Amino acid sequence: MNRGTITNMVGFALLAGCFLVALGRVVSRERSERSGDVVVRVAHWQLESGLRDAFDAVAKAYMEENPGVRVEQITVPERVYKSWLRTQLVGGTAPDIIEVLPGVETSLLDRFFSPLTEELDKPNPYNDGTELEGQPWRRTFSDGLASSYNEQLLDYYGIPISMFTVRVFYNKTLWREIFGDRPPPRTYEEFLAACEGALEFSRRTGRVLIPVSSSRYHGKYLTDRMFQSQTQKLLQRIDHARSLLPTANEIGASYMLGEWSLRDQAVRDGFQLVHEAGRYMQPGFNQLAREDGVFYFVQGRALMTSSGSWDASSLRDQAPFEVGAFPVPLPSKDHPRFGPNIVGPASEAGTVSGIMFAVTQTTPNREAALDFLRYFTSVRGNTLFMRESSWLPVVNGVTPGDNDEHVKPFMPIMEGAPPGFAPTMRDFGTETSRVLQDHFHRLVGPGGSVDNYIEAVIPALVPRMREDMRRKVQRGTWNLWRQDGSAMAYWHLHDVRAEEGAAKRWELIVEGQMLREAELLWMSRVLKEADAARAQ
Amino acid sequence: MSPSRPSSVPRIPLLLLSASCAFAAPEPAARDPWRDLATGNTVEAHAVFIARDSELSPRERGYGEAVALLNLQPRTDARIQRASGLLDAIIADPEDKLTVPARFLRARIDHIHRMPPNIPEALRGYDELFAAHAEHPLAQLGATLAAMARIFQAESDPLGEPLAAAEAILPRLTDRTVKAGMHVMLANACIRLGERDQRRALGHFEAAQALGIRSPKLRASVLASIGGLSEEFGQPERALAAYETFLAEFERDDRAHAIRERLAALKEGAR
Repeated sequence: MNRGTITNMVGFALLAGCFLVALGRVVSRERSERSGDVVVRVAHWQLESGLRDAFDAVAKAYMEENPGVRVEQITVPERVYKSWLRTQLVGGTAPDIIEVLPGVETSLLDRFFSPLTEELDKPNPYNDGTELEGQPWRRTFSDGLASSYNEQLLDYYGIPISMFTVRVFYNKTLWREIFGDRPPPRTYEEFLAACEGALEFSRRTGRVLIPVSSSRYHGKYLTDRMFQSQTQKLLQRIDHARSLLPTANEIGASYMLGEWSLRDQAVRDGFQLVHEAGRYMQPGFNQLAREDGVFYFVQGRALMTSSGSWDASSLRDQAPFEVGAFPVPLPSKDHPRFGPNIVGPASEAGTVSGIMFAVTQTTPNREAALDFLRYFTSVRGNTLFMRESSWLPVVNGVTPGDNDEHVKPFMPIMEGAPPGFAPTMRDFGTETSRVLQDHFHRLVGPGGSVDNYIEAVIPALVPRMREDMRRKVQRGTWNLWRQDGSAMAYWHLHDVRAEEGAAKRWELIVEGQMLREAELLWMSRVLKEADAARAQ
Repeated sequence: MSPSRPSSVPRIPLLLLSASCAFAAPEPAARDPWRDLATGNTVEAHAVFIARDSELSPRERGYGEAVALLNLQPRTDARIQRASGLLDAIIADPEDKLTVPARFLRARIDHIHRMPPNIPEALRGYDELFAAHAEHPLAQLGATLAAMARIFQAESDPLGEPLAAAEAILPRLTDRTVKAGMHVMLANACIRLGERDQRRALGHFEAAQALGIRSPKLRASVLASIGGLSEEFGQPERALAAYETFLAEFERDDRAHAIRERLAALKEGAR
């Protein structure tokens, strides 16, 4: 045999081996399904420290209460999750319960996942004997399931198991070494003092120390909040509906129509905060990957970093020191420069739930899958999950106890005013966000300044915003096309076949469609008016 | 590979593949094309509507195919044109339960499905349908969509004649969903267009709220707007009621604390 033949044979043997393993898995799955047990498979991509164990603990507790049902956890790395998910769904081999990615395509939800509205209107039996007994399942979630509602499909598709807040993490051991018993910063002024203190400590001891470890991923969690404190009053100015929370489209449109500008004092002050905070991060942080930002911190080379509560357990596990957390420190209302733009400390009451699990349409175990999710989001299921994972609870009445000291710092702050909008305007569109981020080095890099940044961004901003708005109109029109088919089908099921529930579905679609159609017409008009203003 | 055994190795995977077929999925159940259309399974629905052995009436098949064609990928002019033709044939027949939906959808094709849209033809279709079947929810929906187009696409003064004409239709709308949607649309027009008429917007927001809004997100915003605008126009008791309703339903909202403070101030002022 020549070398090429051997290589081919080795390749073929590997292929055959993989095939046999896959076949073995299918056979074993078939066998277990024929054993009489109902097997509920749950797929997710949460590989954070402690999460899988917490998940197993909930599954074990559920199985003890429900003999004859087996819950299996399938973890898939985040990088391949999207393609894995699509393959499983299209191939008809999807597990019973799947964690859906944030921003999952509406068409995917519609085609492969079960709407849960009717189930959510019924009480969760696992809450019997608690204060939530008899309440519709939907109303037992602390956010009322706002994040699960799909505004385009007009249905609930996911059951969340946790929620997340953003905090500044700090090296408690190092903090005590530098500042003794001084409490962590509560205001922006105290934060700056801590950063200066860290630099002074570094100079004094010769230890290399960065006040705030950051990266392209981490930076926004600190700077967005700071900037948002400065746009609270501006937001009130453009809130013509007096709803206290203008939409991303209203914010973008008002910019395009000249109601506000990046040169407005409040916006400049917001960027000034970003500029000042950026000086305490490592040089070139905006080019660093997420892992780099974490390394600096867990290696003890930085005093602080910023991220979401989802990273808390991983940071604690990786860091050889005690990790603490505190809310992002914002300027006080008394601050001579930044105070006048502030309405009040930002509320986190609107923190929406996350880690959304959906039930696949093809599952043969729909009832068992739903039952497991009911258990997971009952008072005792969610309490167990919170204790085991240290992640935030998502069910009303589940609060961290004395032994849950890792959870407490992350509980949402319920008091305060609605936050302003973020400097990257991510909610408005990707093109807009990109231009705002692409020039970031002019703001936080060496020699960077607010003027440099703003003057570089302004010429490119409106054209990119127009691009985003055009895309929104185009995609919105596609959605209207799709919804027309559903609406007419539900009308037929109601009017001709008198099917129960079809009229309600038609009403839901029509309500949403009318709202979206008016929004699209308005955006088209904004584009036209912005063009006219530009021509003048 | 040895020339004497040219096909022995590929047989193994074939055998394995055959074995794995033992675990193939069971035969799918018979499909309901209208359920499929409702849930976005257009290809499957279309196949049933055009099947020769379909048990559906030719009229329902034609109508179903037209609805399916609007979403069948790839969307082509020819498919949209065929859908129009199928609907025209249904409209030409004696009236039955499919006539109004077919007329509505025919106008809808001119409105948003045809590229480029034929807006004047769509508006004519909606108007004629409403004139002939004003009591039908789809005709009322068509009238609302026509009013919407006339307001938002007005060359000048959208809050003048187009808004007045839309408001004149309101008493004839009997479908609660359509009527509430019309009020929300008119309120947003008053807020966003021309010289803005927030007082008029408040009236429409209140009417929509009274009729009922299903979307929680929209309901929360409408309640907050009613509160804020009522305060602004010196109607504290209406603001108070809106804020109380908001807090009863949307305690976990970024606006809740601010609204609680406003409510407390209103109550204090009422003493």
